[in-house]
Amino acid sequence: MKFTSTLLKHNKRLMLKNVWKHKGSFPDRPPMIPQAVLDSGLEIVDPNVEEPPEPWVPPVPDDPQFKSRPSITELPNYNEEPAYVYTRGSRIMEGSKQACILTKSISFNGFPDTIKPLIGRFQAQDQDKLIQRYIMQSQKWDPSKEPLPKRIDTANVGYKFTREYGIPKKRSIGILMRNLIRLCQSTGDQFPSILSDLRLIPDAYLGSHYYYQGKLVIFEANAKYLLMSNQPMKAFEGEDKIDESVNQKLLNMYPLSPLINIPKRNCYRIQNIAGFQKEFSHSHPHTIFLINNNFWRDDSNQAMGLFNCFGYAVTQARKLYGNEQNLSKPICVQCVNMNQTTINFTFFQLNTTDFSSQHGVKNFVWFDSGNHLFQKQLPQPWRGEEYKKTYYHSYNPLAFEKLLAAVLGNAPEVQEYLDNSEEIAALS
Amino acid sequence: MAAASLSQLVKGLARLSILNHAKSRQYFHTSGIVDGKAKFIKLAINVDRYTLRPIHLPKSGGRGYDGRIQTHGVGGGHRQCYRMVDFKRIGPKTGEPLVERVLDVRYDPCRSADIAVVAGGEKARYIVASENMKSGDLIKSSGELKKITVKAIEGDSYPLGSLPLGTLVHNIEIYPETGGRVARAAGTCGQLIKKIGDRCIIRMPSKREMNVSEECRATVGRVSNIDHNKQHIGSASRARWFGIRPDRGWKQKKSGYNGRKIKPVKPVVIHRTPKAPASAIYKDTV
Repeated sequence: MKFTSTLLKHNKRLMLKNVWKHKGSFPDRPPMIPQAVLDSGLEIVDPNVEEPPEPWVPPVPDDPQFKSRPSITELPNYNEEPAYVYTRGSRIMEGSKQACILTKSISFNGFPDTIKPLIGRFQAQDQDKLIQRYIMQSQKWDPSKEPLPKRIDTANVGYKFTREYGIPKKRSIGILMRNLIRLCQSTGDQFPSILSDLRLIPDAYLGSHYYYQGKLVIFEANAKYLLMSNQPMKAFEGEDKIDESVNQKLLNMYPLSPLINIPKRNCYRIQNIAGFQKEFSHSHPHTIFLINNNFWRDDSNQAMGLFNCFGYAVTQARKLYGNEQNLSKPICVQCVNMNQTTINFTFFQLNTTDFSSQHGVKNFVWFDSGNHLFQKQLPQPWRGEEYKKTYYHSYNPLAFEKLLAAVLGNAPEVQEYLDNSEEIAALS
Repeated sequence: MAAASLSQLVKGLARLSILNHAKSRQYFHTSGIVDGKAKFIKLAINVDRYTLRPIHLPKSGGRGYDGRIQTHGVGGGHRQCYRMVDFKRIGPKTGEPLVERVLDVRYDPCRSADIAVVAGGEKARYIVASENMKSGDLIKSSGELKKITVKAIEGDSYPLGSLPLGTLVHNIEIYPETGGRVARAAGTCGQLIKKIGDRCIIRMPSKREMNVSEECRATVGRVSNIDHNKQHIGSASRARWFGIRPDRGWKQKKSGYNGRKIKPVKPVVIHRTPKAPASAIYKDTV
């Protein structure tokens, strides 16, 4: 090996670094104060000694901007034992099946036998013409032009739609629902009891509770409209069927608990409010109208309808019969929940308020879902010129006829009207 | 006297700027280093509040919490959402096992394997799906150590000690009740080879062996999406959609022409005592 001059050269930088690392020491010597300064009597401040920071005090003692949020235990509705609180937003996992288990009810498809024969027997004046105008009003003629949410089409996921302005979904459903209810009320010339016996209440509040196998479950909901009656609804099924229900079995969702997806909370109120807190001449809940401003399936929306019916029925039962478990007269409530195009019906009959076990008398529920009032075809510009506009087609009057039958089903004049119409038909 | 009062005034001014709590809550960054790197700092995700809802996940670009590169060749790609996958299949030590139902098998952008939504009792969660898992299946997770080996059914979770020799397992724990760590990628599985006393030896997907406690849980079967390694990315631009940045062309992978060097077998990895938890206090120095 040849020792070149570069190899022999000492790396001064590394050496100094090492010395600095191991032998470098920096004693902290006391400061040298000149005698002249000491003699002058000035106050001497050591810059190395840190003064403890003064505690900060807000300039105004009760300034709200520096106030911390109260803890959960300080809230007025706080309870030590948590409860299951069902609200409008809680979407349950198994849909109507889970709702049936929680409300201890047996489900049937379609309308109940008492209301089924009434479908298509009544008609409002200029019915089809008016409904088609209501549809156009809710979809096109309303002057609101708000930015609509960004649309994604599953047929062409990557397509970028231009910003759309129009009627928001919630408002559109509200317009259609209000008009359809008014059209039902316009049959008052044939059936005057619809105006005298029923009262329509907007934004009705429901606060209800019950114990499912010893666990407290609370319902809190807001209906868009609530029809209240001065007399209780007739039962959908007789006593024979109620007695038969003892032998029928409830659905099973093992290993899931039926209380899954219902959130647990410590802040709640135990209350019994079905419409009005004070006494009112029309105090029996008749029909609940709900708006489905969501992207859920019909099954999930029907579960929500059932929970709303159940909440009203349980509160009414507690009001009329106290703690009696097997009700002498069953309590019936019905619910109509609406989409932009579809109407769903739920009919509920409360036979028992014993929820401690799965045996004994059961309640009944009827689901009738997927009634399209019309079909809406949204634009798909990539398919050609024909698909650049929104089309409304396949108007189906049956959906409204079902709604009319459900609202008029309890009216006393209905039987007279049906007899008369049969006589007229026989004569002609 | 004048000098002292001046120094006090200067001190007082400094204190004003530091000690005003209302101002310090706005989190002003004084350092220029943080600027531009703050977007890489991980968002705090609260693991205690479990949700099935996918959580917004910002792109890390391969950077860690301090803004420095930790993994090279990562950047860009399609937006992804984080799903809280639960790797802890811990069942009760005595009594009947925890039974859950598979509700759905779904795609997860954050990993190569598929995930399954399972629910039992009042809880629902995501787990890594096994090969033949489908909706409607009932799966068990048990923590009971049995002398007689159990019948290994795919998707069920048991301690390694109660499984028969030769079973294929995935989502294997290295310390008891700490959550699965080994064999979680698509199509992978480990194999239970030996039992020595209270220790079990497992062949990992890398063919290396591992010595763990018999109380460590593992799920029976192979991880789902078994054809993942056969998928062809196709183009360099498509690789960018997955967040893979191009490698430099300096070092090329050797082909079969270069010959194979026979290396000695690596020793068994032994996991005996878990690491001490990291201290929660971090001290920064200037």
